[in-house]
Amino acid sequence: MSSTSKSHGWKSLLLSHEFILFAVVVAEWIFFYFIATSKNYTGHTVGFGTMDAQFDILRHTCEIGLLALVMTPIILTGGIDLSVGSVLGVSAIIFGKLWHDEHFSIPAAICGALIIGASAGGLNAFLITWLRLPPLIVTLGTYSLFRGLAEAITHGSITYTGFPDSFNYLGQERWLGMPAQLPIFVIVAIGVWLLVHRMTFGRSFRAIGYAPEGARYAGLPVERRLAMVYVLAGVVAALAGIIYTARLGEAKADSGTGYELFAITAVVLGGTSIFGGVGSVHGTLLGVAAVAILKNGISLAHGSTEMADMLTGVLLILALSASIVPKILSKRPARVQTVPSTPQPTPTT
Amino acid sequence: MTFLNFVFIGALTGLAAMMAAVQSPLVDPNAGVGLELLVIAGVVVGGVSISGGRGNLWGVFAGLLLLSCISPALTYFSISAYWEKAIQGGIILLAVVADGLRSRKNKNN
Repeated sequence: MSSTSKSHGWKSLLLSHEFILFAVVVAEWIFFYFIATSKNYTGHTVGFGTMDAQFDILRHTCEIGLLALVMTPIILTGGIDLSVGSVLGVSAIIFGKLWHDEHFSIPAAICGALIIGASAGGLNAFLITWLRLPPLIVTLGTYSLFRGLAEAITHGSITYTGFPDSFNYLGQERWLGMPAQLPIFVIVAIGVWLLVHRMTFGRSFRAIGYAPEGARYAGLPVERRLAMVYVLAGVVAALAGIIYTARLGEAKADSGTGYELFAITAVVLGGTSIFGGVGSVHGTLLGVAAVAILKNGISLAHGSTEMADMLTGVLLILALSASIVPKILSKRPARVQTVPSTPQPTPTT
Repeated sequence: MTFLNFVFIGALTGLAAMMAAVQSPLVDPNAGVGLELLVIAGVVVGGVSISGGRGNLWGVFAGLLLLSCISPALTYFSISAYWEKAIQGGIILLAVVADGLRSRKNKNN
């Protein structure tokens, strides 16, 4: 966070993870601007450098961006949520089923999908906080469970289509010149940023990630805070499912397959420690941008998706090593920077 | 030891890939997608603690057997095969909840 850069001035700001990542994003953008932009036979510019392509990238990244945003507080607490992609899928299916088979109105179906997302997150939260089970394994179970439910509801073959244009507008049209789903993403991004960086909640997430027992002794309601981040993830995953459905114009059971790993990649690339306690939302946004520009740039430069996946992996390993190397050089134990101070004074006994 | 573990698992993955390749004439670069999560699930259902320090190989065999029996069992009971993943997830959750309840009991004693 900014506390370290403030105390060390501009030099550490330039060397901070977010700044280096920002430089990588800009470099990627310039690289693909020159590599993947060309003129077609009518003399029109096509490819990466056009406004349409940029908007297209934003459109395609919205859902993963939403998942990465809510994954950030979870990883800050030292947890993980592998089930977000499956929650996206099951909410999309429930939305489609409510509208198509149960004849709900669109707003009512959206509410239904959000409630499903909240209960899915609630199930994760319940198992993690009630039995203090490891989040990795709980969400691995719900990852299978929710995807399986989506497949069972549709018998693997039904896709719900024929949504009204007013709904598909959300995913396919422009609003005030920008992709219509972009305002939703910006609102969620601002909300999560305020939650993590400007409220005491954010500090308690870091405290829990840094030392869960310490946070408990400091009087933090650890269970309630953990439940909050997992339910939030469920709700926003459902929202992403609705946007996904609107973008494709159809709700299908395999919506969002593999998105959870994409989101985790973006969060870790953004400088959030997978062990919890350290990280930022703006870092996550940069991580999302780095991965999205790489993937879409390579596909616009007529490269293969396999190459994009491979380079994403290389980028992630480089980013992880880049944050480890200075620590090894200075021989400090890991995770000593930005020790969060607890928001409430420690009760003296 | 950690180093050797990862080298060893890489070698065994190669062996598994070979066994998969001889089963069908088609070699697909997407083979094994999603298998890593199923493997972790099998290991955990087999009683290996996810935080390390506890577990045995027989349990892992039993866990993997249980998870891979679901699909044939569904066919046998003529239930739609699309329930497989949901049931897998249910078994994983049951296993971790049972484990959590047991360790909770131990802590209280």
